[in-house]
Amino acid sequence: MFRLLIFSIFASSVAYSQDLDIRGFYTVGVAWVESDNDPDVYKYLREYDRSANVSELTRLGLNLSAPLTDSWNFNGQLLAKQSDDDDELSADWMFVTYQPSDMISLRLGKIKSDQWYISEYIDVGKTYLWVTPPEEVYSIFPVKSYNGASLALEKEFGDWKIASEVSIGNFEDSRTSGFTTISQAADHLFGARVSVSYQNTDFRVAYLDLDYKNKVNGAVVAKESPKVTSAAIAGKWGSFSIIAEGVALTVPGDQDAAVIAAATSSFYTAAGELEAIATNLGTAIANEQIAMAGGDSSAISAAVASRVAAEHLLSEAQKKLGIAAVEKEYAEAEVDGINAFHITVGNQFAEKYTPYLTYARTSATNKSPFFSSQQSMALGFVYDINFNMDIKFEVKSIEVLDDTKGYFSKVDFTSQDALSDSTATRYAITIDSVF
Amino acid sequence: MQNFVLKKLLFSIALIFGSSSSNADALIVIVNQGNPVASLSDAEVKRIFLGKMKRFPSGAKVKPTDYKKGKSLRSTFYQKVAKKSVKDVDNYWYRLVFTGKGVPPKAMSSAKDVINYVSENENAIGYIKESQLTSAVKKVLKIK
Repeated sequence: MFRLLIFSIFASSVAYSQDLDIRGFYTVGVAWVESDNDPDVYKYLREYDRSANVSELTRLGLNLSAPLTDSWNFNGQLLAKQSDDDDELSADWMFVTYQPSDMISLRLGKIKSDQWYISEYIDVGKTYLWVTPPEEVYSIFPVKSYNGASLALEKEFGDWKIASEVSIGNFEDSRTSGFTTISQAADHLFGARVSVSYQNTDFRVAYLDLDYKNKVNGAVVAKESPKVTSAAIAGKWGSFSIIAEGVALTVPGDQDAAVIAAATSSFYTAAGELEAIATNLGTAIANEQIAMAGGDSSAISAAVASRVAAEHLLSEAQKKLGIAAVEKEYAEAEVDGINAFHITVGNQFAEKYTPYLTYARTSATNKSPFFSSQQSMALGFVYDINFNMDIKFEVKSIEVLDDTKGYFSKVDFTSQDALSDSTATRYAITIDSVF
Repeated sequence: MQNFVLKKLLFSIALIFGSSSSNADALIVIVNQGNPVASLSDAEVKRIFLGKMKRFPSGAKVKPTDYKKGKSLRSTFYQKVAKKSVKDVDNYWYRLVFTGKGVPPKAMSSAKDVINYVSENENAIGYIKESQLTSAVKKVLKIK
């Protein structure tokens, strides 16, 4: 938030420039999940349980656009999310655009991924119906932005428009949850998309492949080259609107044998350390009992301190073994692919009220507790307070499928169990605004 | 017979006044007097105000100007030119703005402000009611 304030002051100071454009958006909301899983053990999407969660849905963005010359523009967007590390603020994207004609535009810098139909404005709640876009599709592959270049071509023929874009780059993103830092990094990212629009209807296909690494506390636990293909159709006819998007993610080849060997080695090393520390604790407890029997107060103090230190080391070793177990399990798991889709329909009444219905499903081809298969039905309602603000209500019924854990995960992050046939309901209310 | 003639006369008068009133309220697109553009098509105006056409045929970068949200003239303009409601147009711009792909036309409070802006900026373009046209700007399209 502090850096956002600095950026605001900077932006205000240069706002006297005639062509500088500053805008923003925010969402505030609350959500909670009722499920048949123990909320002390399992959370939905790592964050949601029966208590009201405000931070996950709340975000603030500030957008700056300024022409540099007739053909070059600067564009940047800062995004503050409370759910990130302690009010962490990040450059959502920041790039320069070269547009020599209406048909061509070249972007260089940190660019928002356009894998999905809504990718580029996925944080701007005012631009779509949902409280949050269906996670069954939009959380599958979290390439939010990349450092690189993209070239877009666009041509209109009467009511028809054809647009295409190719992009290249790389990215790295880290998230810390408790004592675990999970990093996702990718090199050799290549993306392409083609869309055809007729009046208010869009059809779009996109493709992405990259060399992807997943790290836990700095150690590479997975290295893959996934390929993601998606297709979407969206349209608005009168007051009725529809959007549907499907995705197929495939991961060719097996897991890296060296990565599996390293994770297995780490696991057994951690197990060995835990065993040694447990032995030391046993010795410390025995020494404490002997000191107690001897009655020498200084010996008793020393023995108690030694036992407490051994207990602390044991606790740390247990956590380390838990992480190593997850690394090993992840490294050995075979990710063959994921297929997912959603379809959303909405109808606006009296220009202010829009009820909508979304069915979404994700299916991992690997049926194991480490993966996510689930389906959901969401019923929502949008009320437009005025031209730049709305309030949304959504109730989402979720069912875990295929001996997986769906989007539930254990709070302590030490192992995964299948939660097949589990059901949950998420309730959410948000207010979205642009300014 | 007299009744028929009277009705015909009243109808003709209504038609004349209706037509005259409609002409007075017609929307027109205006540019700077120094702009070499003599006329624009409906399709070109639509593309300019949706940010798809960024240059005049002369190659100069176009500077469109619009009205602030809530003005009825804006609603009529987009309904006629783009066949879109202002809500759809606003949503369209939000998606462009928050992806760094465009900036909406500069928003003005009144037709007077639009005329002033267009008369002071050689590459500006705006729209007003035909009855508000002054010699400070040049008409390039009448919206039907």
